[in-house]
Amino acid sequence: MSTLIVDVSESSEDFSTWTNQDFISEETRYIIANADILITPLVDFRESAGPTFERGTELILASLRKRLPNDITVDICVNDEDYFELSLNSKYKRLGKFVVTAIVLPIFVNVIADLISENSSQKKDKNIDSTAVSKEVPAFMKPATVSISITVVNKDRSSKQIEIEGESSEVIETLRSIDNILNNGKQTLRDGNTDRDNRK
Amino acid sequence: MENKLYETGTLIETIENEVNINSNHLNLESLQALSHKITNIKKLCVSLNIPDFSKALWCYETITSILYKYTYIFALFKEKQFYLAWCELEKIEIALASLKKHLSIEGNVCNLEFIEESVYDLQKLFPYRIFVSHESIYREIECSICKQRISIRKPCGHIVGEIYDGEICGRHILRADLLAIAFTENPVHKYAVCNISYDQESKLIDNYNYELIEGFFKIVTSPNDSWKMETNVLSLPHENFIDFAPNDYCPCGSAEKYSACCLNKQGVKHVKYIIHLIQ
Repeated sequence: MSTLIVDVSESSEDFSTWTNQDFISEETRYIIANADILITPLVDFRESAGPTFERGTELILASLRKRLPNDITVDICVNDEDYFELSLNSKYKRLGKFVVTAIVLPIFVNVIADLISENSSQKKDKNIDSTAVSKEVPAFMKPATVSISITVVNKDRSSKQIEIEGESSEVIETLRSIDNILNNGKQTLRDGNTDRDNRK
Repeated sequence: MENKLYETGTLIETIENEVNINSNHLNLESLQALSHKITNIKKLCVSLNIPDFSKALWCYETITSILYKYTYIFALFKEKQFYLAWCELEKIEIALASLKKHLSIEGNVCNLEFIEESVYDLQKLFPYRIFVSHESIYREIECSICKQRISIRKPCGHIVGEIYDGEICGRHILRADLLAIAFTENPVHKYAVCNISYDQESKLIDNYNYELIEGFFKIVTSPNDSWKMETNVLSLPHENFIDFAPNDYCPCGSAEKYSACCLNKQGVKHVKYIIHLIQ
């Protein structure tokens, strides 16, 4: 059974949706105005929470800045002093929400796929395979689920949103073939709930 | 300076040998003494500003700590302190994950591949399946190396998981708001086991059934024993479970009704673990 969800939909979001938010200052608005890739916060998790970012966003931002060519600008939609992380302590790796121009999408997804790959190999889930015996392992020993949401903005400001959720190897494969998926609008659903469902 | 470099290099070679010897003869007192020795030499390397040596010593310190924890688990089994042993298993997992960024353990370096496999197998024998997790907002985070507050636009430059002056870089959470508590089967923190607490006299209240771990400890009695675990999935005849009504929980332990789980199958699913002692 596939554990992968890929959901593609038309979107009304673009960069201005985020650069016009009330929670950022004029200074931040100016800094992020020309971003090719913008990491955006969760604003609808809990009323009291305010804009927050997934745990480890700071590290993803640093890795993207280090690995992407200098002419690609990566930024984050928040004032420096308002950067807060949301920690949801189940083994579910949320990479976060990204708004990305269509032109930098191929290089962006490759860097993200590399980051996921390096992170999974460190954990080395080598004992977990799909044999009958390994299916008997308790849930806490199963590989972590990874999720990412990407809004791709075209030159004419039209946009599509792609949400991917699954085991790391499946998410990497999906990211590497994102062009096909965007063109075909492929959707795959899996059985059972995840705590992503609980957040809705 | 060259003399000091040579002397320190020789000391590190000695440490490498001692760690290797200790990994084959696990003993709590020796490992503790070795750990103190490594820490002192590491301090010397940090004061002499030799980052490569400090990093190597961090690796040996971490290996020694893993060996110590694995050995300590057997002492805890003996005392029937199973929950504490479970926590040590998680600490080994975390230490191994940090170490493997800097040192390959392939080829069973210092017995670490064996310990990694053992931790994985031992965790399967524990009865814990439901854990508590918290939802929190971390409002103030600092770098463990420079103690600067994390700034996304003016980062301090220290990378999580890297070694600086013989210490691993991490993040300290200085201020957090708790939003909610949730139950999960797949936690980040395995120590957060449900239904374990302390009474007013700080005595552990723990009603879990540890018969699998106790069975393991009857066979593998020492951390120096070499062992392997085999997992078999069997199908037991329904006649063995005549006391179970269709609406009862399935005897396989799935938490589903017997009628919705194994009753219509050839038999009741049963997972059997076989421990092999290797001479």
